Amino acid sequence: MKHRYYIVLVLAFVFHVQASLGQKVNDTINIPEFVVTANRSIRNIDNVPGRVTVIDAKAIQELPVQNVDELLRNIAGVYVNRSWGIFSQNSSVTMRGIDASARVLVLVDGVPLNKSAGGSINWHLISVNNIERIEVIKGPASAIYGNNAMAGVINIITKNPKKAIQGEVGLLASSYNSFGGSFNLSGTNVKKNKGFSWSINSFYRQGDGYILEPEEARDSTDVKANLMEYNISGKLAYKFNKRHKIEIGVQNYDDLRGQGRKVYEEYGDYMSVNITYFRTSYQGMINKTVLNAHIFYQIENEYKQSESISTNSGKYKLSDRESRKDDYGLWFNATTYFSDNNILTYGIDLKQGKADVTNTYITSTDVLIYSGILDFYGVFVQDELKLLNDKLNLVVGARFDYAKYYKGQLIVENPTSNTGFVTPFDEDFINSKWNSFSPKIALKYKFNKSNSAYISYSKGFMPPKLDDLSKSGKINKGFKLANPELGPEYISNYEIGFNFIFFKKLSVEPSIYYSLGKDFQYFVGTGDSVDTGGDELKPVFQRRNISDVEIIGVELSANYYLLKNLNISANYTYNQSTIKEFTKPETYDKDITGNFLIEVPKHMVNVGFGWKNKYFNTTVSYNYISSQWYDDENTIEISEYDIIDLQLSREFAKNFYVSVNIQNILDNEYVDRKGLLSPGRFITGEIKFKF
Amino acid sequence: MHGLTYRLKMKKLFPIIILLITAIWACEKEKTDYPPPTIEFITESGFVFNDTTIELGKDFKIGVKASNPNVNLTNFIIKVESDVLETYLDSGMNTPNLHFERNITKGIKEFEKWIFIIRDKDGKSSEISLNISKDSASVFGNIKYYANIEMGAQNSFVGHFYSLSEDSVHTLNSAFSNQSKIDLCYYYDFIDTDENTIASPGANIDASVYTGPSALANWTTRRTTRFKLASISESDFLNAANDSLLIATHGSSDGNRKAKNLQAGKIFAFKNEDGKIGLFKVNSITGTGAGTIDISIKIQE
Repeated sequence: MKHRYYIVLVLAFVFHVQASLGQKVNDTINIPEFVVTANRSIRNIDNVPGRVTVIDAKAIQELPVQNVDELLRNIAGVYVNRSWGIFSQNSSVTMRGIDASARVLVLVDGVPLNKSAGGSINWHLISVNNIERIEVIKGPASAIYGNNAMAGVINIITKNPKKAIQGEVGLLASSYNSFGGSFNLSGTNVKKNKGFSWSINSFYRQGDGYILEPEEARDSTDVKANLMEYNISGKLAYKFNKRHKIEIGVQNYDDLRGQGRKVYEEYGDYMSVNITYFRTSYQGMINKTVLNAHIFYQIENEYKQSESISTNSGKYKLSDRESRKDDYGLWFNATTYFSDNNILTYGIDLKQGKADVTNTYITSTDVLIYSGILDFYGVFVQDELKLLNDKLNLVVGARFDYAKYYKGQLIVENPTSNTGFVTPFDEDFINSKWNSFSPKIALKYKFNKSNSAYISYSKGFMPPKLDDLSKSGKINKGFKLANPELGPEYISNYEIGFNFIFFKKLSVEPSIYYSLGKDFQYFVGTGDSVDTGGDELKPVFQRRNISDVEIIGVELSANYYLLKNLNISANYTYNQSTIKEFTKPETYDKDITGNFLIEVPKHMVNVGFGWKNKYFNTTVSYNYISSQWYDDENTIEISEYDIIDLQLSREFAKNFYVSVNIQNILDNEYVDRKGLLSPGRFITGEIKFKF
Repeated sequence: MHGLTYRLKMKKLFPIIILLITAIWACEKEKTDYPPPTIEFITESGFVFNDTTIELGKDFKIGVKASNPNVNLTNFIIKVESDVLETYLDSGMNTPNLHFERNITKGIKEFEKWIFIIRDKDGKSSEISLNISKDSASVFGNIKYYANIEMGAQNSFVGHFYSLSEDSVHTLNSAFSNQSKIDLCYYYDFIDTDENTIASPGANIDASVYTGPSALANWTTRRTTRFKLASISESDFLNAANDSLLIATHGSSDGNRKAKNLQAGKIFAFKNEDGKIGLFKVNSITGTGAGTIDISIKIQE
């Protein structure tokens, strides 16, 4: 038994989680899956005491999506907010009743993408065509991942070549005069576990866009929010033998996205992002220890031009913002298989985040420059025990994180009322540091091959963002003051879940969780006011750790494999996320205790239908999102909406793949939190040639 | 054999990779270094364009022309330097040419240096200036005092409009018939930052405030009065016996067409379309949309 397990482990490692391991067969659902994210090395999903969802290559090809994040809409507990479709500046992916995408850790091939400056990731960086599978770990995972893994972890695993040379060329055309293309070329000469693998991927997309403002609110400055983007990436791997492998990945993404407003400038209000991403990964095995090491470097250069004219006063404003955000680090972890029943995972993570931002007000003299550095250090250990003849899986782990903020600086040159500073300002902020302890204990009991239950306690945290630590300046409702002493926020999660499989065809997965958040970061008035040049003194706001929240959630997922080529899936999510305690600053006049968290829908429903036949593979997806609050005071509500998406696809002559993808097929109109319109029905036709 | 085929295929790939890299580099843009914008005074009759002496409280006209054929002008700033340096105007634009004219009231300072700065999109700037001295023969003028004027908000039965020249409160219909005399109007706005507001008919007032055939949208003459929040005390206001405090409080720069978020005790300086400078003090406010406001006014004769 012990040897059999060891052989399986080595095989799994050698093949590096090939797609076949993660795929389900069509008509039954009792084949176990392997995941790499739950414990930072490969595990049978049946042994993971927590809620894990996998989207495999087949689903990725068949789901009616345009962007990677939209694949996650079909997972219970995940809320994807991409209200302008492909024209969205970015997407917000949140989980488990907690708003803000910075509270979800996103990895690509095990390497973190979350930026220290703003906390979130740019979802456009990843092309749908280059994904092998996505693993989603729900609930806090800071005990093993640290930063940002507060509501969950999403790991996007890219494709690896299987042939000596293979490739794919695709062309697509969509609504709003959008079109694009993709290109993939890869190959491998690995023989007897030795040799190179490589791949080059690229995609391009552009579109005229549509007018975001509802018709009744439009003026002469409203124009279409257009898009132009490209992505090129390359991967080179060398396998020394069946136990050691090194991989280098490089990527560059560039876009220009209009914001739907133009006064005088050629491109009007727009944002352009260029991201360069580099990683080197090593995977090795020494005796019974599996090693994983990643060195990564992400550089994001962003340029934003803002242009507006007031309909009341006629005042014209033009400004730009240039920023450079760097994140680099080293992640190392090892997993030692002491025995079939005792697996120890341990590691150390180092990361540094830097931000340098210059905001130039072109229609006035102000120049605002801020910068800062955040260092993170984390160590963790986790033990997995199999007890009662593998019926009981126990996971106990903990992680200690230490972070340091330094070289924080704010410079304001030639200020006017635009920035809210009355005199030039040049100040170095105080250094600050904090630490976090994140324990986890989880237990899974397998009643039989088909049915199991788990119970877990885990803690998660989100660090303060460099933007909140270093940035001061005028904002819409007043003046934002940097808070270099802002600390992390924490969440403790208690969860129970069950996995049932009935008649080998129907799987049902209910989960219930109760989370208590502490020291949540909220934007509140300090009670001070500053003269920003208007008639009135403006209130000063600052991000502070001042509220505790409570989340009660239920998730229910079901998959029914009706026939060999026909399956139905459905899931429902309920979240009641409220502010339990609000430490109101003395001079702040609003108490939001008892209010709901913003941008958390109370109810979400997803129903999916997949039918493979000799004419067209058909996938239909229905999503319902209930109403949600826009503001902390709970005075502005974003209306509920539902959409139905459809994809029809077919392969011809082995080499050709044709698909028609219709998002929001009923053309339901809904608006985002700013009152801006969704694109409505969006049709895409795509043809691919594979070789 | 397999290795050779592989190498041959790889060889074919290199031109594609090089082509892609070249295409990315080719997108880099060159930036040209253009000369700064030009700026000069308008020297036509009626304009002040040299150093001069002007009587206190009197208007004078300044005109400026600026241009840059290569890079658009984006920012025009006027600063006034006396004992301190103050910004009189800071305006955004996006145009190759600027033509600016303004009537300015001579302030209370003995000496003022008026500085005109033009900046372009590249951040380059040019400036010109002139000196204005106060005429030593200047004397302070008399003022009128109107105490406890009651005006009603839009849903009140009390009149919402006021004429400074006649010291009279008007209903909507009455104001419509006397458009050329109306300087102020009072209403309540349910937006947090606005609430109790005294505006001028020339301001951008939401159409839902005053409705019916006499609504502002149907007026043919909408006078503009501009307001600035004053930082003087109530006793300063009550003790003002001539227009010295009024001129000093108002300063040289223009204000806004609305005095928002009014509360008892707040004092605003204003200047109406006739060039009369004044102060108004809020004595009391009751209610909201159907409420009333009680103000006192001091204005140049």
